[in-house]
Amino acid sequence: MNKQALLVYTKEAREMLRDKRVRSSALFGPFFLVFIMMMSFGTLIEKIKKPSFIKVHVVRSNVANPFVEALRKSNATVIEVGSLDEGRRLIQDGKASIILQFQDNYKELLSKGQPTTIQAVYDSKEQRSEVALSVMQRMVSEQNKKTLEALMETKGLPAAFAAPVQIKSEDATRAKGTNELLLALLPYLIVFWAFIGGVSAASDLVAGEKERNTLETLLITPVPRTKLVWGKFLALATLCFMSSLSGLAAVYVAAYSHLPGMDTMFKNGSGLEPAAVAAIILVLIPTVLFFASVLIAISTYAKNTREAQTYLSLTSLLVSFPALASQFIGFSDAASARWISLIPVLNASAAVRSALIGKLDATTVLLTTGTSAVLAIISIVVAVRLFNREEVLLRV
Amino acid sequence: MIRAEGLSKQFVDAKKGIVRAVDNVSIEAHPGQVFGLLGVNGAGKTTMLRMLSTVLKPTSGKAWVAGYDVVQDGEKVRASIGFMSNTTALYGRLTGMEVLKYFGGLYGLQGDHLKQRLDFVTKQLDLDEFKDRLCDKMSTGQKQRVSIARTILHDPPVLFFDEPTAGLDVVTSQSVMEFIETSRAQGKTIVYCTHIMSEAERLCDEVAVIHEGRIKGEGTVQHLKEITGQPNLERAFLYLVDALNPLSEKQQAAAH
Repeated sequence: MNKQALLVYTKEAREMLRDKRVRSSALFGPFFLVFIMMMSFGTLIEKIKKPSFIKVHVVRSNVANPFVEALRKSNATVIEVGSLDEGRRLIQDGKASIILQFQDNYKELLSKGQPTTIQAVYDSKEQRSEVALSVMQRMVSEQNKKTLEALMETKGLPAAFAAPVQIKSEDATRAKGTNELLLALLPYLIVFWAFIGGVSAASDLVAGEKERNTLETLLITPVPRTKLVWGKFLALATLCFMSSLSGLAAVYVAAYSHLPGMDTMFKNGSGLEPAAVAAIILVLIPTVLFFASVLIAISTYAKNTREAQTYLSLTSLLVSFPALASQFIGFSDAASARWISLIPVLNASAAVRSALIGKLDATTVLLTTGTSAVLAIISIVVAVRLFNREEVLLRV
Repeated sequence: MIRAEGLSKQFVDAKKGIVRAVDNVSIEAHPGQVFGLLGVNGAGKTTMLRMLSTVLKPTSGKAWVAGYDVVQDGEKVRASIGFMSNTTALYGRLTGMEVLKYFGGLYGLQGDHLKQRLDFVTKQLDLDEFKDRLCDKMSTGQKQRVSIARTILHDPPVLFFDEPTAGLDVVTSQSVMEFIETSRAQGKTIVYCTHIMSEAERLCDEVAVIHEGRIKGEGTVQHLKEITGQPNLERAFLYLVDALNPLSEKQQAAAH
């Protein structure tokens, strides 16, 4: 780096580190937010998995049956209601998750091996209600299997005939340690933080200097304007990078902390292989340069920090959409499509996702870094040109 | 040392159309001289200084500062000037000394030379007591002294001052003016923009009255008083910018 640009870089970095706002939002913020997110999601998943988490309302008329006994044994909370209509109201008022009503002669029919029904009322728009229904369906299917096995035995047939075809599954994933939720969230968080981390400082870098009247003293130094922009741009890129790494560091610390919920999110350490981390960093570098150049261009264009913050908020939304899309690409073949690597932001988060599940190949890395690098060059050229336009810089 | 020939600057304003902020201005200032540029707010003083300091490019005309063309040799011009205005601020999260070291570096000072200059300005402007304090924590007067130190740190032969005392208390204003007098004695070429006539009368060897971008009168303070027939610079200035109140003129005549 040129000596004058390095001077600007050092000064900007020092100012950023002394700014409480920047420290909390770009450096400590990502770490604590990712950490707390992991812990709360892990704890929630553990809670949902426990049967005691399920509350089942049963219509009082026929609660003495083996299914309700099984429910009680599995520690599910069983609450009795007077009628199905009363239960329906409870569901609609959000006071119950699921209402079960057993056929009048449920126990009798079951003992005779005759078909019977359990009516389940639930709310399809409530997640806890959906979860309760799926738990009930699983229990019924297990009970059906047991009934069939007993029937087979009485007929002198092998119990295995109850389920003649079985699927023997084998998980061949390379991402053995990481929870699915983490795999969906992490690419988004790492890439989004690379942008958001820079937002807190960007408005101050040029727009803030215009507002505080420090820019003119900088412009009358013999340092060419291009070098001034480079120093500011690289300082901002460093902050964006550190912000993203702060989120990644939180994953490591969380994985080995063994705090409540963490062992659910990380089954076997962080699940981040050194090769995956290296690939993530490789992909992040041009992405961070692209983000920093966009942020500098916006800050240069804006008249003051307020205007800059307005533009930056809108740009944050623009960045968040493609970054968020990485959470859903796993549902389609797009995850492995080459064109994904050409879409800004989405390419980086998709590449991070691929790295986490051990599927990142050289072509994807090359296409992703290449696309981001080209965009970074274009944006920095725009930023430098804006910085050289007196009507933009001085708003005369 | 400073020469401007037919310097003009036009802006395009969305409401007003083309605005001639500076219109065909020619001035000349020499070493050991304070040249005053007098005008009301919006007269074109700041635009003129911005062109001379290469922050703005002239629309037409030519100018040389310390022997360098302001368009062709921008970097050399900027290395030869010190610029101070009442609006220029310091970096609040840096200490006074950090600000000075930063600007010293940007002006190409390093090693022993930088240390020597830092020692010089610290002593000259009595910065020792607060130089390691964050600029945000300094008083207005202390900030102004650091600003002056930043302006002269690289020992430029040319100094531009744009209303440097605006908003300052009497004591701080006094020290700024004393500093300008010292700089003149050291042989610096100084351009001093102001609308405070008492300051101009005290400091300026020559003045130019600028109004609506044009020079309305130029010469020594005495010369301006003579050509306008007014008893003081303030009235000479008002006369030149067509702002003399007819009533006050009658009162003045009656008093005589």
